[in-house]
Amino acid sequence: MIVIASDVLILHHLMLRSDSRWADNEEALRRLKGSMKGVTIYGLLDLVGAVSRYVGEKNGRELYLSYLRSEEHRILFPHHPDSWEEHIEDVMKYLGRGLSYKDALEALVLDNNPEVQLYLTWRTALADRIPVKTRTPRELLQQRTIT
Amino acid sequence: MADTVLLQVRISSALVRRIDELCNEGLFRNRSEAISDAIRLLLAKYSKTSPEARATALYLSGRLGRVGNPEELVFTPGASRIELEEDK
Repeated sequence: MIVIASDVLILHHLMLRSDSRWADNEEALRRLKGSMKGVTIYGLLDLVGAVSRYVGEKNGRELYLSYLRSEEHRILFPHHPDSWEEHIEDVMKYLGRGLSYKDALEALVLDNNPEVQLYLTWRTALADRIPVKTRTPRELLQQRTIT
Repeated sequence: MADTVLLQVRISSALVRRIDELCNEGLFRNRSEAISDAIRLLLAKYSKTSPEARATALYLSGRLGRVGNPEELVFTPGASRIELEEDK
């Protein structure tokens, strides 16, 4: 399963047409339409925060509910740690690779869900630092054109 | 006397034993009073939660109906400049 990062979703939902990545972002999402995609709970909350900030809380809340109800998306949750000690142990290995705490949380969820094959994000710096293969929407389009 | 309804529910014998213990300690006059108090607490808990929190609980229990594709929900922000997180 492909997991879509919040940067890809923010570009889409806030219709950032002037962004140079817009066309590829939209095309990649269009091609993935109809297939089951994953979004981590942290990525979804990040998206809700951005939408609430720029177009209001009501829209952010509506978007959250629509993702929970989506037929095409699975929201991935982390394993819930029993203690802070366990949580620190869990995130420390990602923090040690230079990830921010937010990215470490995202990486934890990806690690806990073995069915995740690919992480779709524009943030190429995450490659080799998170537990799954990353692709930008542009790379995904090129890959799919070739195969 | 308040309007009451006879409600038949199945509760594990272990829970009933605990409720009886509370009654024997004098905290409640009978099982009905103890269970009514528990239901009031349950209702108070959920009356304070948002629709999003309730939907999340339903989602996690697999009982939330699934319909539509949220990607169709797009917004047009005003003139404010939007900056995505830098690639780092």
